[in-house]
Amino acid sequence: MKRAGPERAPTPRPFAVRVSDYLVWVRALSISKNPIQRSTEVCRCQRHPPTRDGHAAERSSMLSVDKIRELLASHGELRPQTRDRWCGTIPLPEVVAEFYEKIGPWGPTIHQEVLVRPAARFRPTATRSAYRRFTGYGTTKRATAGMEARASG
Amino acid sequence: MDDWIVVAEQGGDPFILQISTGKILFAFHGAGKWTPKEMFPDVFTMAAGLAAVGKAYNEIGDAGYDDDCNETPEFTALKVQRLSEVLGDRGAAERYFKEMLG
Repeated sequence: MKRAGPERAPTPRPFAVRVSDYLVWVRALSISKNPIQRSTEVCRCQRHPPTRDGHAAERSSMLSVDKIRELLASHGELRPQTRDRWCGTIPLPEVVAEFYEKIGPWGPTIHQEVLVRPAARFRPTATRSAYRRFTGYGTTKRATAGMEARASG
Repeated sequence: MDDWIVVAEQGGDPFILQISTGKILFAFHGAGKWTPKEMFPDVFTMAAGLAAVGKAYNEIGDAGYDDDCNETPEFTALKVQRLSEVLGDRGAAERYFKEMLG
């Protein structure tokens, strides 16, 4: 597959990504609002069936939940959570819900879809600090504890 | 279609969960159309695989690149080694990076 295209500028370092680039998925897997919106854009594009000549890796029998948690632990705090805490605008796929329950999102950024129940909606007129407490952006331990307390009712 | 959800990305290139099969697909953006290839059999394997590759990046740091910012052969070998440890199949790990290079 050619990487070059009309929308893609040539890159001087093909695949020479940094750690921070490679671990963007850590935030994505926390099902933040933005990645879901991007996926919507993907779905709107002209779609073609996935090619079957791709070399998918076969799932290894060595991969236990504990092993995965061990691998991810060095990249951020793991926070397993039940599926009823999902408050996104689209249904949470079963496999992602299972992933959240067994592994969990991780990292410092916890987003509103994950922690806050649907009844609790952010009011645009609220203060900046309230917004930070609500969304978790720039969150502190104290604010996070508050969000969790609200989410648990 | 509601069958695709982006669950990860690398520099704007999406890792896509195909909900109907549970497989993880990968595609380069900017190609004009989306023709993703199967990259991992499920989201759990993806998580483990990418974490293992991230571990390789953490281990080698800037020493993984030469003066022209190209990956050193040692770095490439280390990434393949870490991924193969997770997948249990060196051939699959080598194919993964071959796909990622386009």
